[in-house]
Amino acid sequence: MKWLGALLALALVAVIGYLGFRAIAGSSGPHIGETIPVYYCKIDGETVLPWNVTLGAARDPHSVAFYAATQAVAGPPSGTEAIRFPPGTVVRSVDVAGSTATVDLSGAVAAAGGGSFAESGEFKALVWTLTALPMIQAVQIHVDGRTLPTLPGGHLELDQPLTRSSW
Amino acid sequence: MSSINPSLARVGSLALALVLACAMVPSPARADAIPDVWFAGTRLIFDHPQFRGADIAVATSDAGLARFLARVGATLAYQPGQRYVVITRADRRTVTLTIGDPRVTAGTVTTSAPFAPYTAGTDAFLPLVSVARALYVLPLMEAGTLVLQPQLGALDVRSDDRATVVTLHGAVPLAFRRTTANAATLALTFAGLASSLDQTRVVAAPALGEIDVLASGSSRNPTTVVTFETPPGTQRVLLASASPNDVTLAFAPAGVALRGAEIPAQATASSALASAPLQAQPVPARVLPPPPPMPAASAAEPVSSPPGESIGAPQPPAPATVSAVDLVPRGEDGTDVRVTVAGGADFEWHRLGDGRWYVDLRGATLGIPPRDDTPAVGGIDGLRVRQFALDPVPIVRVSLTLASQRRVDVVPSPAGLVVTVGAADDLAAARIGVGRIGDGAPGYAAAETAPAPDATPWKFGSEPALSPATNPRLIVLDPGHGGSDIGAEHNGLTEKNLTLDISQRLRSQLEARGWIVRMTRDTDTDVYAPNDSAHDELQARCDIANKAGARMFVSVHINSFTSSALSGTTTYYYKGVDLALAQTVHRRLIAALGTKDDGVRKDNFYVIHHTTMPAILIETAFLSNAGDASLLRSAEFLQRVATAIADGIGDYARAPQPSQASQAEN
Repeated sequence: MKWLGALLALALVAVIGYLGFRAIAGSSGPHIGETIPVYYCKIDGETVLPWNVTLGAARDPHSVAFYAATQAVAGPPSGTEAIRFPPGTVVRSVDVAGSTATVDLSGAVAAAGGGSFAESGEFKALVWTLTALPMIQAVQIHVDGRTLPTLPGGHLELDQPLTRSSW
Repeated sequence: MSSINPSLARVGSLALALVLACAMVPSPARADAIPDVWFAGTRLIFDHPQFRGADIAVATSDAGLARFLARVGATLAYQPGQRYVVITRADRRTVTLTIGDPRVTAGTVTTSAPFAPYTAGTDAFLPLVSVARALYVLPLMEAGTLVLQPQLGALDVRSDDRATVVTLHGAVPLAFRRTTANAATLALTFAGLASSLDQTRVVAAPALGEIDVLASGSSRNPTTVVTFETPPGTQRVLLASASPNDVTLAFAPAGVALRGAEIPAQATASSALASAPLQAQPVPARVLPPPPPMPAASAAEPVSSPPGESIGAPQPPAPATVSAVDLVPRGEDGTDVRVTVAGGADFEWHRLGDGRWYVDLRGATLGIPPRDDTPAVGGIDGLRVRQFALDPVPIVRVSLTLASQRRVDVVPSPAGLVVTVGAADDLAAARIGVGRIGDGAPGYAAAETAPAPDATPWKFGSEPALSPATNPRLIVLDPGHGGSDIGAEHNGLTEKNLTLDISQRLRSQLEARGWIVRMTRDTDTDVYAPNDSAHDELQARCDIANKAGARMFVSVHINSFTSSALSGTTTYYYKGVDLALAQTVHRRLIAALGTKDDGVRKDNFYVIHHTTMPAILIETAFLSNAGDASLLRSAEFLQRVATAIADGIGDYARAPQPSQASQAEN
């Protein structure tokens, strides 16, 4: 009976360990691989192209969505010509409800006073990136925690979720 | 080479490790034992630093960390509840840390920090020394003080057979003095920066023989001199850098066309940003060995294949096989490319600017021999079918070379995918689309597919529906911005003034041709109220046109961008009914202005979305481009803009319309 008790204890430890690993690895939700595509808009203002970004250890959808948004806002490394978010633009948060991701950006995105050309390319890259994730189809933009009807420079409309069909 | 710095760096690093390790052993948290931290001449004060292993834990919300990151031009993103902390450097390369994982990834190089980032409350705590290293900042212990020493951290050399481009990457915005400039030597001195790159590097590239990096000075006051040895007669110019932390130089033999600014006696990278042109020609990369402490590359490095030819794999689809690719003429309607696929696959298509078009079938293998044909039928000059990738996800690529900007429709079919190349061009075609075939796939979403109906109530009341013009002779002109909203301002020009000038000229032209014109503003004023919200201001402009039952709405703007390299004219539309007006006006603008044709584009701009009649938004030219700005200073050019728009409106009015037969101009 002693060895049976030990065996049961071992099994219990194994189950708890496995559940703990699943919780840490965030293995619930849609499957996400080693890399995600992150998109940028070329300087022609129209062409949207992906590059691959390797994920870190976290694979839970919330972390991956946040990571994808930060990479899209950073844009490709500086050697690549791209339409870029204004310097200082930071992803404050990403929350996913249903198939819509709400991305809260810092006020730098609205303070730059860019034109329609830049706004279009910036947000196209962000929307393409997030909607490439299996769980997201639309992206609602907030700035400093609030919904903005439009951005001040080019007047891109932001009061409703953006999708790939917005362009 | 350096006489002081290498030994300082080695001894300093060892001392730092010992001090931090010893301090860590007896107590897990000894804020009073944290050494003073100095960076670039100032002391950094952290709120609640703690020793952890041979590093110092600081919170993401720590004001000291924020000051440090601001000095190096980096930003930090962290949201409680998720596990990534992403620091974006000034050069837009990212440093990634993960809660619970000690690895710090900057580019292709991953290092291990003494402890894994952890959370406490709403904060994440990060290894300060490890983060500093990833930002080209070297930690040194000096007399009980931790000195965070900014480095000239990396050197990229790119060359082809004509020119060599060198980019210096620094931890902080770079300023230099040109200390030597003779026929064979150019030396630039960077005060305040040290470097671990201190050695002579034989480049043997066109117009550049050696690069010598010499670091000297003390740990708190370092200086680095970079010397370039060039053959006599070499041209040397300063190029625009994408980041203030970079300096980019180009070298070429005499006779090679080299665009760039003269290298000044003294400069900052930000001044180079403003004055020098972008790098002229892309040249193959030849990067010198990555220096310690951290690499030049980032985790977000583009894949080695050309952009657009590598797509990530968020969700591997079920296996599928491409068993046939057939060209089927459709008479005057164009040609079908029928791709027969067994099984389910995601697809993503791209239209490139040079007539190439391709679709990738992800999760598919090629069950037929590859093809590389030149059918030259139905507007298709080339057809290529190949297994583009096998690992990690198999991808079959079907590529077309089109005779012109033909309309291309992509429709999933029970047998696979039908790509219809139309007989006519579509100048406003979408550039990308995605979907899925097989497996009872839900269907296809192209870039220009109308959005699905949204159950969300329209925020500002009911969304306007298209309505017939009650005043078919009325055109509403909307001079962009005005009053408290000046719009963009560059090169001594202000957008709100130019839009009003053009609109007033346009009004005269249209009235002379029999139209009734109403302006949303006729002076330098806000339409709704000074300092109003963007919504109130823009809706007020739409209301003028909607309430008056105008036949057309034309909003005039001037574009701007952070880079002065961009120029040209763009006409935007949003609603389907806007497109014909946009195309006819844009055609006239391009013919008349001589500006770069940036195309007719769809975008969700407020005033063309919320007006109930055909509406367009014209971005006349770029204020931020010197050439375009020069044109915009000319009254003759502004008059030409007005005449071209009026001509385009005339063309549109004379063309057969589904409704509202033209009354003016006929």
